[in-house]
Amino acid sequence: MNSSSRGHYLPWLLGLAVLLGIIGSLLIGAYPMSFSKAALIISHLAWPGPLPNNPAWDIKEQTVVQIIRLPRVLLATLSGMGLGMAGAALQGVMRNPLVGPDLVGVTSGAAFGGVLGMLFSLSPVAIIGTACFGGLAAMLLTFGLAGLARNGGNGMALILAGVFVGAFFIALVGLIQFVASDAQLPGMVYWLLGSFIGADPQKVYLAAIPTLVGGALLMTLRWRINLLSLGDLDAASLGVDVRWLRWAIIAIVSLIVGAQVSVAGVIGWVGLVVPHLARMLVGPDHRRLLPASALLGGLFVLGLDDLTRTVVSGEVPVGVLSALVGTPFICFLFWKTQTRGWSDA
Amino acid sequence: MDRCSREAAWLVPFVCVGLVILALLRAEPRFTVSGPARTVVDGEGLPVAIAEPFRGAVFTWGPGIGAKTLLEAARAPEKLASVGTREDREDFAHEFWSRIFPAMLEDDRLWDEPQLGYARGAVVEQERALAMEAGAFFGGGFGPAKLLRQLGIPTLYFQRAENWDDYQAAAARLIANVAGHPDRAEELIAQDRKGYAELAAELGTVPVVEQARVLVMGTSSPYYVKVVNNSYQPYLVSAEVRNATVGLSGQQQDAERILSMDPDFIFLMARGKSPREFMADPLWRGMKAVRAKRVYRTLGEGGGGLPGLTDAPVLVRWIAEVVYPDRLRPTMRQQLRERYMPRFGYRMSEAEVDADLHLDVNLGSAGYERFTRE
Repeated sequence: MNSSSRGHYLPWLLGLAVLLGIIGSLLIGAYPMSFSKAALIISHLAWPGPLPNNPAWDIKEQTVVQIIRLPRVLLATLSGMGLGMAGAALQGVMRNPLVGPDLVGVTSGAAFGGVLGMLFSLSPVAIIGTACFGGLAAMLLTFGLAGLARNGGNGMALILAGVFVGAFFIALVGLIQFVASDAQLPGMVYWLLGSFIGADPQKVYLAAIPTLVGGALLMTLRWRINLLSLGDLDAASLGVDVRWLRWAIIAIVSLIVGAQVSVAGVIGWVGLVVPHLARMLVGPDHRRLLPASALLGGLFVLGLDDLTRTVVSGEVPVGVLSALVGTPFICFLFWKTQTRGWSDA
Repeated sequence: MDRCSREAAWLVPFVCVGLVILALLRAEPRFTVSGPARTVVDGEGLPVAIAEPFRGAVFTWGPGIGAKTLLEAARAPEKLASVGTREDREDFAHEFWSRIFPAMLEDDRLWDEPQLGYARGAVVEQERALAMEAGAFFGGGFGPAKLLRQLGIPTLYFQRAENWDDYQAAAARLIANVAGHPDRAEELIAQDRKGYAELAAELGTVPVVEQARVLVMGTSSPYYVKVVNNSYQPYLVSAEVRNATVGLSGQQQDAERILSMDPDFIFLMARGKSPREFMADPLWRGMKAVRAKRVYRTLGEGGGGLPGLTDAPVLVRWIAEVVYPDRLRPTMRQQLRERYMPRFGYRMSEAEVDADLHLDVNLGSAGYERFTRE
């Protein structure tokens, strides 16, 4: 298959893979249920009409597919899509392949908000709210701190500000864990490790709105990100307001990542690793790189979540698995590109 | 045109995912109890219909109350639908509950299912919870219990309370009610209250200035200490001793802070260094408690953990007997030996009492010979 025809079919292939991934993930899980019965329930869920009064399945089986698996699978897909796209956009605007969403401090801020909510025994919905608020607060602090720099629009100033703010919020997370009671601590630690257990429709909506709306905004900006990757001077000479564009993209990325952390905890490495995979597949052009990163991110995280809820005995947090898979991969890329340069990766 | 369709093709998967999300708008399935049922009001005042005959209880993560509370409150192992994993079964075999209810160890039905992820977090094992055939689930406002209640499966929450004993008492009443033996919980609570009342009458009031300063701690750095806001604090208050950590927050402390507390008595957690090893450590030699050899391993198999209602007054008496030997008669061995007799008909052997008192490691500590066999 030459590159032109591959470019033609790739969006359909990736899209189909994501849809098949979602359907396949709905078929598997800890509840003892045959594939055929699960498939029957899925087909009835997909059908717009009312469900039959006397279905061919047990009410528990319908509950498992509809109430437990569907939100979880969607949440994993959306989180992966958001993180993959956020990573690709950040790497583009910073012109640095080692940048990930974690570096702008949002992840740490959202983590702080979440554990703070747990410390005060807030309701799950309120914890999502405090986590989202923490992520936004961290983003504003990062922007404010970068604005104090002489060249605030410079990507490096923002990254450094993100590192400082992230370190500050990580320290606060540690402080909260320190004062938390014995009963609260395991829940906090588990949430911080990142997992999709306990997904419900509210969490899906909370992740879906920023991811799909933010993703759409990033998609409209993808041509400009291409210009930005030429360098600030070249982009400005082509009519791009570099400072505004960079801040706008970081704000969108922060919202996406903040929402993801608030609903599923910290899932690292996806925003760093997936854009590299996508770059290998579609090249460095952000018109294709952004959507490809989103779809690959969705597949990547969905696959990890399937692994943890089926193959692995016990629920190993997805955040742990993503780090276990991501670290060797990025090491391999680092080794490979020592002689060839990152852009060839 | 071709370029346009190519660009649009990238949007199609996003639209599809958006459409899949719409499936969440479907009405949720709802469970209903059919056939004969009775209604029990849970700790939050919610009436819960429980099908008859009762098919057994399952405890989910979070509230700190589990199958052992059912055994203690209702004395009805047959009312359990599941207890835990194979590993839990091995642990249970080493506990005295397995000696009181030996048939439980032989009942494979109780140990086939996981204990709903007690140690791993609030919201694990939802699919496994649904796969269980139980008459009722117990839990809190999170984890599998939240989902089960949302779906209409009989799920009972425990009542919040000011302290661990009151919380356990309310939980015992609820569990025994569900198990169909409400009178048994009342017996347990009465025994608990009687134990405290007898101790208070014998101990009298110890003036605050005369109260010993006590520290309950672990032995690995950073050192875990029972601070004032720990659920253990009411036991220290009932034993009329002061917590040496007053003014400190945070459960992990460094050696310097512990040295600066300089308590009169130190109670070590069950798993860790023995009092002898602790007192031999040059780090602690300057402490008042070490110089006076007033360092003890805390009573019980899981000494330092939160006790059940049967054990709580005995633990408090043990602390008081160690700290104020002149105020109390040496009845600890008898108390330990007899504590399960009234409700379980189980008399502990002398060897079991020795083990609970940790005589093997505590005999080198001041005054502990009062706890030896006569």
